[in-house]
Amino acid sequence: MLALFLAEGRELLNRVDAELLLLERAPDARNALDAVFRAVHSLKGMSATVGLTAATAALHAGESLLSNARDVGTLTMPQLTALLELNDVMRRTLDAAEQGVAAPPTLLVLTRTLETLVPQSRVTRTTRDRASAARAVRRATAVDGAQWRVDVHIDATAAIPQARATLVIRRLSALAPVIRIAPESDVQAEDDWDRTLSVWLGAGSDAAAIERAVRSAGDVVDVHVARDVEPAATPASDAVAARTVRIPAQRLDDLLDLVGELVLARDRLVCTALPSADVATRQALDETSKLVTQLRDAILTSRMLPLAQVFDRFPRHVRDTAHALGKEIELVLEGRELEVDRSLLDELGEPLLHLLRNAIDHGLESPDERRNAGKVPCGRLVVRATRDGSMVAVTVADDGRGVNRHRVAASATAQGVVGADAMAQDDAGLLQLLARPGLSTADTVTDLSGRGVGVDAVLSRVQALGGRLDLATADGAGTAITIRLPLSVAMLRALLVRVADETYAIPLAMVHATHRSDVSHRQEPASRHMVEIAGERLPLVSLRSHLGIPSSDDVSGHLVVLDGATGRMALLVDACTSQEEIVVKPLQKVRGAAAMFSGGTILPDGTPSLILDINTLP
Amino acid sequence: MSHRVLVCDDALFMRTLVGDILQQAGFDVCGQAETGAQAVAQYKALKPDLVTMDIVMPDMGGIDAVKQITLWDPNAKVVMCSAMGQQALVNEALQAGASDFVVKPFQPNRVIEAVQRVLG
Repeated sequence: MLALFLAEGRELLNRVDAELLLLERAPDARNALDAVFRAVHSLKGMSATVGLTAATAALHAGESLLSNARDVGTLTMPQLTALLELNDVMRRTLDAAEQGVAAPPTLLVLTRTLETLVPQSRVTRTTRDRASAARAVRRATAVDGAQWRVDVHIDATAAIPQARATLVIRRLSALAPVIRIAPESDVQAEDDWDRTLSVWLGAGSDAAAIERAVRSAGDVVDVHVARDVEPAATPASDAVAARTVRIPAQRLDDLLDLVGELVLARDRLVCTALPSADVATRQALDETSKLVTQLRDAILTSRMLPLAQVFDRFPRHVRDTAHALGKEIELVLEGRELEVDRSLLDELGEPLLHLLRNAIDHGLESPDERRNAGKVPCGRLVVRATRDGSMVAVTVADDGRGVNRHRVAASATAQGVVGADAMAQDDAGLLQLLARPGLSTADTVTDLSGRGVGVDAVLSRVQALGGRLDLATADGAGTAITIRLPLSVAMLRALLVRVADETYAIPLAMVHATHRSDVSHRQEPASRHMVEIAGERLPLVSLRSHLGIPSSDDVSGHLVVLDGATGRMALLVDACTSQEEIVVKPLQKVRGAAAMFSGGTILPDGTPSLILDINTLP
Repeated sequence: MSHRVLVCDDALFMRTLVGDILQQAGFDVCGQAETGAQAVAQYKALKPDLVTMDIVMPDMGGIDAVKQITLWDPNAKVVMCSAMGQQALVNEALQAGASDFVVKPFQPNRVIEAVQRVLG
């Protein structure tokens, strides 16, 4: 076994040497940093196993340093020097182990040096404070909805007790809903955690099964299962300690669903009861109505998270991409603190990454090209979030070469688009051309952005969320693309339209204008034709024929002008009913007719309605 | 019939060590993998009863491998092999679907206990 350890250990040291030299020239070479980290990590595990304690400690310090360097993205010169020294000393240590003599004493000094080179993470007072606060909570509090209280004592010698606690919690959650855990997981990660854990469970299961489950997680010294009891009195200080509570995200979604239903029920009630109500009822209705609105706002607020959660992924991403493409880029993030609904946060990441990739790949020039154009060699990329009424606007702006209108127009013309040259002259038209699926203006196909620019993917994603996309670009000066999304996804401002006896909803963000129509249904051919509105010739789609409803000739109709993924169009409907705030209910994904709809909703009068996915219109 | 185990670690030394511990306890080490990608491929080919998985490996790390394996087989049983100081990664692996973990330096009885807990 020792021979194998030595052979593989030396191989790892050689690899570390090679990669460190590479890092000396490029301190931020991601792959090299990763490789060194892995090698040092492997060697640490192996050294620990053969009992080289001092070497393990030194390698552990080296690994912490590398882990930190990976977070920061670069290695400083003193760090690099110390790592090279570690490599040399480890080589001597392996030689010593082979000859059966003691490890070189320099290992201890080196460990210290490595440790001082790691920027100290703050062991904050607040976690300590919260640890003691959590203990106070556990002494006194009974938890709403909890049936069982499970106190677990994890073996003091167990490795990574926090992960053991995770296993305990997972085993328990298979038996009954976990309602509360104390202390919180970040306290469990602290060294001074006392290895005890309290878990409150909801109804279900029995004491014996709970105890078995806890013990099956391993490294458990003691379990105590009891019915959760009401506290005699909760001291005020304990109430303060429970200021933040973790709630499963699903429960927040359920709450929002419920309050959405409540808003609709209220609207229905107001619709039916208000006209005939007496003064007292009217006042009660009024008050209830206000409270429901406040409740909804409070729930929406509780779901808000800062954009930082998405934005903070960008610096690393931009650095890596820029590095791969040989570009210099300064990234500026503005509005990280702006809060949006958590469902939106999940949805924003992908489109924004896409836009960033485009900006780096197609927008920003190489340092040489920038110098030739009289610009500073380092390109500037700004991601800026601002609040725009009930929308959040996120702009990705670069100071690169700008979109080449001629090339986009030429590419679109080649695809058979009529009038592309004229469209490309203004920014809105240019965006429509860019958003055509499969449009490519890249001179060379790069593996980063693939063949197309992918604006179509971004646009359809944004529109499905009830948002819109805007473009501003100037030749040689740069490009800015702005995504506007409603702050909350689950509620949508919609235009309600009627065909036959059905009411459909269209996200208001996509509606450009509405007009009375002179187009009689009788004249309307089944195929697509054009209509002129406010001097603009637009393709005309009849919602009746789109939905397969027979035309009737006694309706005058309205035209709704829509901005879709494939451009502006006019939609012929029987009538525009009203604008409403609707709660979006997702539909099961099905093929066929249902693909025309992006969701459903219940209208104030209680009738169900489908939300049109205008991107599926012909 | 003895349980079949797939051992994944980028270091041959660690693979041999874990393999020895398992074999001495009567397990059948049916395969070895050096990278996460290999682990996933081997899992699909061998369908072992259990996997021991290093966390840090080149190519594809252990956590991503766990994700892929449990995606393919939700009942897959994976024991993570971690070094000291990897709390966060171990937790991440458990969230990703790993069943248990052991910590280097390996004590044979701890390894066997974990494996038996998971299989039992």
